[in-house]
This record gives sequence, structure tokens and C-alpha cells, in this order.
Amino acid sequence: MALQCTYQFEAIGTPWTIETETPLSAAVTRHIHGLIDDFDQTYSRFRPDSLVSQARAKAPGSFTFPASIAALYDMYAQLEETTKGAVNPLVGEALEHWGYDADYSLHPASLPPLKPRAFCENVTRSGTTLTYHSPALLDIGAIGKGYLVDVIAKYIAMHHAHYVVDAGGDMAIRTTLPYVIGLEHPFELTKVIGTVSLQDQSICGSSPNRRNWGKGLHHIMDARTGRPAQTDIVATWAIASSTMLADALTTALFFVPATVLRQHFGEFHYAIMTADTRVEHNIAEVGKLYG
Amino acid sequence: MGKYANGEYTAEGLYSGGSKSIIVKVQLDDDAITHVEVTPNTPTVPFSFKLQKSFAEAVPGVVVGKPIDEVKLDKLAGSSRTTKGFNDALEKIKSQATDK
Repeated sequence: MALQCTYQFEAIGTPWTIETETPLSAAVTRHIHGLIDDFDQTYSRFRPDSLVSQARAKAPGSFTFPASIAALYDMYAQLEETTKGAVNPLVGEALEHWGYDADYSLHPASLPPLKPRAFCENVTRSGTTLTYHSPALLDIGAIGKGYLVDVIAKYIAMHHAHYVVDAGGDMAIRTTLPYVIGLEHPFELTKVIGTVSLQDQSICGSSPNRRNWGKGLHHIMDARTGRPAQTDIVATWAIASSTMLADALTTALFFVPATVLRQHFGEFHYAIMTADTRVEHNIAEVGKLYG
Repeated sequence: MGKYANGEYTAEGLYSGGSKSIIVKVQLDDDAITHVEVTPNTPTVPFSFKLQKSFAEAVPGVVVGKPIDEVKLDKLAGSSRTTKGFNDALEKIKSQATDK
């Protein structure tokens, strides 16, 4: 059966689409929004009442997070190690500095930015308790959307055997027939540079193209400098067994080669496009590029 | 004999409304790229990028975009789509920049 039912809404700053064979019940959609609200209440740096905002205001100190923090923390610990500190969730203040703040001012502050502190050294985890050794604003943007997609997909799987959960282009796919995903051209949004066909995997894409508000101002922070990454890479895509991992990989690919990430995380399919429109990839097994 | 004449191909891509450019020089020998030289003006991402069509056609390894309505797609994957709030803020900041 085709995934003919579509449920759409906006959450965590992006449009979501959930496709299923039969409609989601009212109880299921209520539960989905509850899961998302809980996540937002904890991790949104745009809300002063969120746990991450409260922790920034009150740190140093210890804070009890929900169960989700274990997987998120551990993934960031791995990313910090494999990207040698380029990917680090303590970039919340840097993002605010450059303009990606709660008001979307999109205007950089005039003082020079502070370099974020190392993550694992400054925020330690014991169970679901995080101990901040100094004030810092956690921003889980590099993997948070992917993680939440997995949470929602896992819940939907209890009620629907097949689905696609898509959060603004990061998606978990479980279909009976191959699902064709176009790789969006980062500069020409009405075009695709190729397609991949998936049935039981997740795919994410990353690019500085949309959240880009001036020369050198975009949302992919390099925590080693506290500045937006200066790179010729204009788009990355990754396919993995979880959306959190695919999300993590698309960010990490801006900073370290695919070979390094494959050594650490295992094999995965990816594509990396540079400004000269050349693409490094290994997706021939699951798709094709046009050229 | 290859499909394309051996030799050096140069293309200039213009972006940021034509004020910035990126130059790509490739050496083709028997349809294989033996040397590539890319000279971007800036390592940051341009707002728009137009690559000369002839260059894209001549050089292997370079991708071209196909219009979405020419491809049978279920979904698109790229950077996370933004919402109206962010798009409005972006429009505002861009119009301020052009006012200067």
C-alpha cells in the first residue's frame, strides 16, 4: 500500500511531514506533539524557560535532564573526538553572537566572539545528570533534529508498519517500495543533483545555503574557532541506520574526511559537494548523480 | 580519440549578483581530468551560483542540476527547510544590507 496519508506541521524551526498508509489517530498525533514539546522544553536555546537556558543562567552546577541526554551526550562525545573539537554542542553562545539568536536578529555582535570551551571536559555526564563546570549554552542543532525524528519514528512504528517521518529534509524511511529522494542542489533549489532510493534507512542533508545571512555568516559553527566554518564544501548528505547518526555525519563531513568517519562509525553512504560543483561520494549502490 | 578535445578549459562562475567569481581551470586528456585548479574569491558560500553551461557539459565529475519536475521524486533532502519566522528575518536583514 502506498503511503497515501500525510500529516504536516511545524516544529523546532522546520516543517514536518509524516506519511503513513492509514491516517494517524488523534491520540497518536497528540502523543507526537507531546514528545516534541517535551524535547523543545528541554533543548531549545530560543526559550528562556528551557532546561538548557536555565542551565546556562545557573551554571556551574548539576542539572537533571530527561533520558534523551544519554544518547545525545555520547554522540557529541564521539563527534568531539573524531572532528578534533570542530563539532561541539557548546556553540550556543557563538551562534547567538553571530546573530542566530532567539530573536533571529541575524546581526553579529560587535565584540569578538569567545571560543567555546571543550565539551566533555566542561560538561560531564553521570546517568541523566549533567554537571556544568562553567556557564555554557548547549545547542544540539547538529544532531537534535535527527534524534527527534528517530523518537517520533519509533513511536509511530508502534502503530504503523510503514512510514516516512521527515523533518525539513532529515528523514527516517520505512517503506515497502523504494522511496526516491532527490538531493537538492544547494544553489538552485528547484533542481536536484541526483537521487537515492531507500527503504529502511535515514537520510539527512546539510548546507550553509539556507541559514545564511551575510558574508561568512551561516549556522554551521566550527567550535575550534567559534566562527561559522570556512570551507569550500557547500552541501553534504549522509545515509545511515538512524537519523541521529545521519544528521551527525552530515555535520562532521564539513570538518573531517569521510574515510575518518567511516573508520569510527562504520560504513555509510555519503555525498559531499564543493563550490566547484564537484561531488565526492559513494552512492552508486543506492542512487545516481547527474553530470 | 576522446569525445572532447584535449587541452585546458577555463570557466568562470559568477555569484553574489555578479560581483564575485570563482575560476575553475581543468586540463583534459582523453576525457579524463588530469589537473584541476580552482580559484575562489572567498571560501564562503555564495547566495547564487551560475556555472557556464558549456563547462558543465565538457567536464566529467562536475554535477549539473536537473529541474525537480523532470524527475520522479518522493522527497527532497538538503539543508533543513526554514519556517516563515526565519525567512522573514532573513528578508529583513538582506534588505538592510542593500540599503547601505
